[in-house]
Amino acid sequence: MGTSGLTNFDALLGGLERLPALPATAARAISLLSQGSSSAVEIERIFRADEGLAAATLRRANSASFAAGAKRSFGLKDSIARLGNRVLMRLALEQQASNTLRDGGKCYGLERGALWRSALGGAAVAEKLAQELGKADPDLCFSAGLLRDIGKLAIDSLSHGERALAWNKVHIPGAERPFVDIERERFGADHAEIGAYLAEKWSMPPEIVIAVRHHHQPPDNPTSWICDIVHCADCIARWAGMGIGDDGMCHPLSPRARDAVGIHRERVEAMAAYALDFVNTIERDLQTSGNGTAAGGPPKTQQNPGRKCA
Amino acid sequence: MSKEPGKSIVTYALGSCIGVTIFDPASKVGGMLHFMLPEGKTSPEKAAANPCMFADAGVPLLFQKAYKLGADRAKLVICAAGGAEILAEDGHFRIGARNRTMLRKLFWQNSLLLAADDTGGNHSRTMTLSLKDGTVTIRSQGKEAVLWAPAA
Repeated sequence: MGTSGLTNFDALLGGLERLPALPATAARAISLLSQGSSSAVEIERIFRADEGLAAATLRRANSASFAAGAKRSFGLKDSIARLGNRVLMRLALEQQASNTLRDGGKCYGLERGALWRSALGGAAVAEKLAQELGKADPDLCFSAGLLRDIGKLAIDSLSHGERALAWNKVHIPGAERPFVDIERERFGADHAEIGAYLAEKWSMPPEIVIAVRHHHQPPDNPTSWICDIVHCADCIARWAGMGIGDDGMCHPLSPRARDAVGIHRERVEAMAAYALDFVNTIERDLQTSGNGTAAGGPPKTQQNPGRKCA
Repeated sequence: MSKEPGKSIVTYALGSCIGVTIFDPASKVGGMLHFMLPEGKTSPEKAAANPCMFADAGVPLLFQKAYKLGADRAKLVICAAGGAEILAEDGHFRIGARNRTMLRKLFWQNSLLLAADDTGGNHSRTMTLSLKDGTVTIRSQGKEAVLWAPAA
């Protein structure tokens, strides 16, 4: 199984009509890219068939960081060869996971689009932290950040419409507990463990599976840079007001990971502002229509009565 | 910002961010700000592009817009909600607390008082301002409560 020695995820998720899945293009691309000997011709065929993915690949290959000093622009075939599997996997996820994630998190009280915004914000921060630290691959960190909450998609189905607020049977006001403990009591596994199981099913590289598994509780022994980075990025996204549902702020920050990654108040605040700006820019680019409200953006005006509450 | 009494303004899932509402019962001008951080100085470019991310830039803008629509400073009812903290945070960041402190500092400097607030803790809040009469409601942990309403 590889994700947890205690929970039988096949049994836990076996009753679901279908498991959360990536769109077909992303699933095919990632399945190929995760094999070391992937066929460039086949990858090109998949990427060419998706206009947005092809355009993103061309943009990335011809961007300053990849094409510095190059005297020509790159076509799709050359771009694919130039970027490498990790970058291509990240592009496939970035372009395609929105459809999978956009409706997720309902049982946590998240508005439509909120889980996707949080995924993007955490991914952007994870990438930036990795670039600054130089200890983990930034594209892998981006992908792990993007996928860290995919377990919530399965929990949406497992909960059969029951809101997360109802899961805590021993709630004592003022004595909150880590929300993953409450999920484990309710389902036998938390959303991070379930997410790792799904990531494995989706043929994600082991680094991503492990980072998803530990994004709320990074291991202390042995430590892992990608786990520490994605964990800190998750907290920073929360400070940026992203992905906050019934679980509220009940996901503690590991002091060890905090010190390892070296985040302090000014850096966290700058990163939170960066995350929000990144997400707003992507949403503008994709011309999406998420309903969630965000810091710095205008609160929604709506007709009375019929308030819509999370 | 609006002065249409048939409408309400809502912001969802406030965590450490703070929502601030202002409402003038006479002119029916009301508005809401959802800010994320106390000060823009950590990200000057972001603060210039999007001042409403930050308390020190966004709060003055909120009031200026209300005055332009005809709000009377002396009549304004001001409420705030949010400012939660990450669970078990050991004081390194205290972003929710710093947001709350900055808001109070701005109000104190400008001789403004909060009519009501619901801040702190570790939970999320959804805040709604009705422009009909200025009622502010908070939905949190599955319950909706009136934070402020005009006297009957």
